[in-house]
Amino acid sequence: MSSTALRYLDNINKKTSWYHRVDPRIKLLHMITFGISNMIFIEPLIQSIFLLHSIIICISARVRLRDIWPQLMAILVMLVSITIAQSFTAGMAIQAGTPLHVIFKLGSLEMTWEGLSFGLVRSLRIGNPLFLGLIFLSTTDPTMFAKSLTKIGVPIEISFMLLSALRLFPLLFKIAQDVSDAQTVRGVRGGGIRGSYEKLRLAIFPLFLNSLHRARSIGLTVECKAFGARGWNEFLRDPRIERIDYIMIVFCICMLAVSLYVRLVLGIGWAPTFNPY
Amino acid sequence: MGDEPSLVDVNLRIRKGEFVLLAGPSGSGKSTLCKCFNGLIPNFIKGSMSGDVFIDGLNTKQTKVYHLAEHIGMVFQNPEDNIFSLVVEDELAFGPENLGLAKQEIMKRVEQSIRSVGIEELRNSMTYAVSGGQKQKVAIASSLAMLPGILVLDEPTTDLDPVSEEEVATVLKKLTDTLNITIVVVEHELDELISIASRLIVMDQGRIVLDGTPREILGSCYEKLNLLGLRVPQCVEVAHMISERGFKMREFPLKLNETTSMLRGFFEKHPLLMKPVLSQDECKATNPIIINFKDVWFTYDEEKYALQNVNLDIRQGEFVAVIGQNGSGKSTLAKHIVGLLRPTKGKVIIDGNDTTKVDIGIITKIVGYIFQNPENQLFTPSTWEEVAFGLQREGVIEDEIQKRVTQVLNTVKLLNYKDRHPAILSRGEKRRLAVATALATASKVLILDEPTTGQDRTTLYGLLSLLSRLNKEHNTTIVMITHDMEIVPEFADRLIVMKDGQVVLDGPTMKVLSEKIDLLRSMRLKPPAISRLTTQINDIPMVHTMDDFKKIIEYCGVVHE
Repeated sequence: MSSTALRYLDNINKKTSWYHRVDPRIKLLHMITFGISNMIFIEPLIQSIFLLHSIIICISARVRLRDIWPQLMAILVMLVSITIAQSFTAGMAIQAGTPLHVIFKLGSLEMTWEGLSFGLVRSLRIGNPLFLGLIFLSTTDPTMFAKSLTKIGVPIEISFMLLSALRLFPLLFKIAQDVSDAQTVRGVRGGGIRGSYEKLRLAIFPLFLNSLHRARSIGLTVECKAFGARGWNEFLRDPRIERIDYIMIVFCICMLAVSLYVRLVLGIGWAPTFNPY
Repeated sequence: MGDEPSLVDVNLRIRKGEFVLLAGPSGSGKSTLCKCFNGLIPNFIKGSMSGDVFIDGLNTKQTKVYHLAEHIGMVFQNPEDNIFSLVVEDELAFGPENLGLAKQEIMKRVEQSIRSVGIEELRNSMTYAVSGGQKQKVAIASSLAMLPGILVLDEPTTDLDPVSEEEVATVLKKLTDTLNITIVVVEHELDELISIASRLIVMDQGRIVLDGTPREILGSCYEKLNLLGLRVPQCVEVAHMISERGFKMREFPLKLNETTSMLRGFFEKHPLLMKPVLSQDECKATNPIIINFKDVWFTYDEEKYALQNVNLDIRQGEFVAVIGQNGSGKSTLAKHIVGLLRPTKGKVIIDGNDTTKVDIGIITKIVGYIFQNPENQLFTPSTWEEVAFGLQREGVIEDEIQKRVTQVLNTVKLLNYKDRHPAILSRGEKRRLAVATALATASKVLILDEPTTGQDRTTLYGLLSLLSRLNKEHNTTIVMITHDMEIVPEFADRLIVMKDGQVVLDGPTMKVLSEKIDLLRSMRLKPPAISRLTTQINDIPMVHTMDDFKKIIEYCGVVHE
C-alpha cells in the first residue's frame, strides 16, 4: 500500500487522542453544528476563530500535518484560487455604485480590498468544514462510523455507501500514486497549469478503470459476506455514548447557541468589520 | 470481451469434503465458474446463463446471494479487496453481523474462525498492517465465520511470497483435515497445493477438459497440461523425464520427497556416466557499470529504514533477479533505479547520472519500468499511440516515430494490434505493450516488477523470452523483481537477495543457488524444486533448471543386472 494510504490508516489506528475516542455520531454532530456556525458569519476574523478551533482539534487529536498533506494542499490550492479570483471580481458585485479600495492593478483587472475580504470569507466558509472533515476522516474507523449511523436510524444503504467511500479512500490513494508514478516514468510531468492539466487528463482513464475495478471487487466481496441480508442488529463492538461524548454534545450545543446569539441577537459578523482604508 | 461464451457445457459434481484444484490457462473460465458457485453469476454479474447450479441443494438462480453465503464462502485474489474493516476482529464479525445474529453468536463465530485458521495473535491487529499471507488468512477466517460448508478461493496465493503461500496452503490443509470443509481453489501454479488436493479439474476455453485425481492427471495427461500452458510442478516434470527413460514407478510422485526417493532408485539403476556441461552464468564483469548504489539508505516515514546501507553495482547487459519476502525492500530498490525515489542518505548513479542531482526525465530516458499492474501505465486510445507517446513528447520527428514504433511493436509481437485500445488487450499483451513503451524511449535498462502475477506459463515465458532476447541481442540490462524462484535460474545470470532493506546475498545465480541453498531456506525463501531435489541425490551434481536436469538424464547409463 502506498505510504500516503498507510499514513492515513495509521492516523485512524492511533486511538490515543481524545478525538479518536469520540463516537462517530457525535463527531458528525460536531461537524454539522460547526458547519452551521461557520456558515452564518461573513466576517473573516470570526471565521478565523473557527479555523483556530479546527487547528486546536487537529493538534490535540495528534493528526500530523504531513500525514494529511496531499489533501490539505489540494484544499489550500482551491481556496487560494477562490480568494484570488474573488479579489479581482467580487468587489464590483458587492458595492456597485460605491467607490472601491484598490490594492493593485493588473492591466484592466483591479484587486480590491472589498473583493479580497469577500474571497477570504468564501474560502474560509468552504475551507473550515473541509479541514474539520479531514480531521474526521483521519480519526474515525469507517466501519464504526457506518455502524453508528445505522444505530441512529440512517438507512443501511446510505451507511454502506459512506462506508464504501471511506474504505475506498486509502485504496484510491494507492491507485493515484501508482498512476502518477507510471506517468512520471513515461515522461509525463506535472509542472505548471498546462502540465498539471495534461497529467490529470492522462490519469483519468487508468484511474477510472482501476477505481471501478477495485470498487467492483469490494462490492462482490461484501456480497459474499451476506451484506445483502442487511440484518445489522447487534455488533461485536457496539458504538456507545460515553463521558467524552456527552462533553462534546454540550460543547456543540454551546458553540451553536453562542454563534446564533452573536449573529442574530448582537448582530455581529454580517459584514467585514476591519478595513484599513 | 468477445461473443464467445465464458463457460460451455459445464457438468460438475463436487462432493462434501473434496479439495478441488481448478486449473487452466488465463481466460479459460475458472473465475467465471467460481462466481457461478456462490450466485454472483447470474444475480450480480449479468449475462446470459443457461443450465443450473445447485449448492447444498439450493438453486443459485432462485436463492439470494446472502443466503448462499451461509453455505459457500469466497476468497478473492487480491488480499486488499477481500478485507473491508480496519480491525481483524471486526472483519471476522462483518458477515455474522450482516446476517443479523445476536452478539453472543457473533462472538462465538469470531472465536471459532480465529481458532480454525490459527490467527489468535492477529485478533486486534489492523488489517492493513498484516502481511499478504496473513491478510489471506484473515479473509479465509472471515468467510469461515459464516459457517459455510464450502470455501472457494480464486488464486489466493498469486501476489504472495513463498512463505505466505505456504502459510495459506497449511491453513487450507488444516480446514479439510479437521473441519471436513469442501475446498475449491483456482490456481495457475500447481506446486503448493497439488499434494493436498484430492481432485484436479482443468479448464480450457470455458470447458472442463480434464477431471480426476492429481496423480491420474499429472501422470497420464502431462503433454496436454503442457500444451495448455500450465506450469506443471518441477518434481512432476522430473518424474516424467525418468519415466520416458523406461523407469517403472509404482505410483506417480506428487511430493518432493516422493520424487526424491524415486530419483534415488533411478540413479542406482542408471548411474551418471559422464558429467555434462551445465549452464553457466554469463560473466559481464568487463561491461561498464550502469547502476551504482553507494551506501544508500532510505526511509518513508523517518521511523524505519526501507533500504539500509545498500552498495550495489549492476553492469550493462546483466540480467538480474531481485528476490526477498514481501516488504524486504525490493520495490523500493527498483524505484530508486528509475528515480521515483531518492535516497535519504547515499547516492544512486544511473549511467553516470546522480539521481539526486539530475531531473527524473533524464533517468527515465535510460531506465524503463514495467509495473506489476500494467493498466496503470497505459493511457492512450490505441496501442500505436501508446508506443509513440514517449517519442512524441521527446520531440522526435514523425518519420522516425513511424519507424521506431513499427520496429518496437514488431519486437513485442503486437504490430497486428496497433489500432486496438490497450484496455481490451489481454494481461499478457498489456505487459508486452508496457515493455514496448519502455523500449521505445529507454533501451538501456528495463525493470520488471513481479512479471509472473496472474500469468499462465505460455504468457509468462513469452514475455521472459522477449526480455532475454533483448538482453542478449541488444545488451539491455534487465532487473526483475520476483517471488518466482523457478524462473530465476532460467533467465537471470545474477541473483540479489534482500531482507529487511539490506542486500544479504549477491552473486551469479547458479553459484548463489548452489552454495547458499541452506541460507536461502533459512530466510524462508524457496529455491526451485529441482535444486532442492538434486541437492538430496549424492550421485549427481546439483542443478537449478530443467534443461540441466535433462542433460543429466541424457548422460545416464543403464546397469544390467
